[in-house]
Amino acid sequence: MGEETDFFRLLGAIGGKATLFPAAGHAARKAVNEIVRTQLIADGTTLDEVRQIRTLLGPAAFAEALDGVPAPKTKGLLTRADPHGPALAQPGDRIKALLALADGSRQPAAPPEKPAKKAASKKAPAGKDAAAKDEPLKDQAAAPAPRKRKITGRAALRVSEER
Amino acid sequence: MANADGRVIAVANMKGGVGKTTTVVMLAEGLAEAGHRVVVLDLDAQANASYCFAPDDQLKAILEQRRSVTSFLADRLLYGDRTPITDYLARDISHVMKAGEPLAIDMVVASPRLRLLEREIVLRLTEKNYGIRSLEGQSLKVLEEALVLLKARYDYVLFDCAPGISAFTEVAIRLADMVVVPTIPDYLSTLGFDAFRASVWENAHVTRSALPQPKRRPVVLASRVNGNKIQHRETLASLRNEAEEPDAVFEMFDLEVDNQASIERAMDPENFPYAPTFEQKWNRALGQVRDLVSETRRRLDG
Repeated sequence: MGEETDFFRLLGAIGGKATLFPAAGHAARKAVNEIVRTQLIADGTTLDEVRQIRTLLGPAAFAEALDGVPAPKTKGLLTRADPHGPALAQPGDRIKALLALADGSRQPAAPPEKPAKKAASKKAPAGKDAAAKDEPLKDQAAAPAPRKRKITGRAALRVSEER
Repeated sequence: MANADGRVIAVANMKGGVGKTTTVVMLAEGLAEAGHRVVVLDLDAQANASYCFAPDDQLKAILEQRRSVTSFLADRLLYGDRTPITDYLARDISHVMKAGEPLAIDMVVASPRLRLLEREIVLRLTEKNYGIRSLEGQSLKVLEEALVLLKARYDYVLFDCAPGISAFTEVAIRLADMVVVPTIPDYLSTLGFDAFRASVWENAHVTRSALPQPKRRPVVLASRVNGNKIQHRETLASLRNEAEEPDAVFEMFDLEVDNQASIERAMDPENFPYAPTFEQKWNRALGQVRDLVSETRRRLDG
């Protein structure tokens, strides 16, 4: 199929004739989630666009798509949506914050007041693009080292429960 | 609040290593993700399901408070204590998130002492001149009473039964609305299934059981399926043929749960040092979890 094919139009056409695709319910769900996630984690996606996507999908489908964003990617997404908000360590907290930002129950934090002008820093610029670029590096650094686990000695298996 | 008539599903097989706990975790999280209130009762002294939901330190704390299936059964059957099952629940035990909230799963965890409890009870009953039938009868009464409370609070009650057939597993099977029997489609596993079915559904080895018959035929769930193996494909075809026969003695899920890394990974909580979302946890196995849930509901309702 040529590159000029308008797949979004085709998706709309499929949606209009869903009865022709009774076996593809799961595939449609996966496709929708995949499309939405791809856009959510794309570099240029703004909070306003995230909100529009939520309005388009409805809260449940939006939450499902957001739930499937890989944990490290939620960091970049939250940074873009709320650049001055607190850095949240737990992916679950980031999802909660993103849901609240998307439904408007939470607004992005205001930028901190700038102190008096300092001499230019030699450190890497802290702009929006730089922050986004840094994400994959941070994620790599945060990637867990191969785990060594202790196989024996679990405490719960040794509780006596005597009355 | 759940409706007053929650459904009871026992996941059981006399054979070990066939995917019972995996099926329970898939069902529990899948049903909870679909918006249902779920409670899991771990009847396996290995406490595998308990460990899939709670880390060691959390389980230790629960057991030290004597809130386990073992303590519940011991308190009832040994000490005559009538504390309700709901006091033994570990609430919101799941760390898996959906839309920013943990899945609504409560649990009565198991502990290794469950292995000894049955012996302790038998000894105690023998001292009073009661036999093994009495253990079955009393276990039936205790679990029946527990289920009345749980069915009023939850949409689904899931039993993770131990391999082998303990008195508690026997009872859980008899009380369940549906018994799911995960079975690897190979020779030894199907042999195990046949022995299990003969023992429980045909009472082949028991002449005077105090227990009622199971409510319906067992439902086989093909598990750990490797479609590349001729042995698996052939055994699956045989299972399906037999399940289609007019006088079939078992039903069979359309779904086949693949032997895939995503499922194995999902079963190990140490792979998720953060609270994962349902989607993150099941990843490539997500479709199979949802298929399992929808087919289970369909079979229960049909």
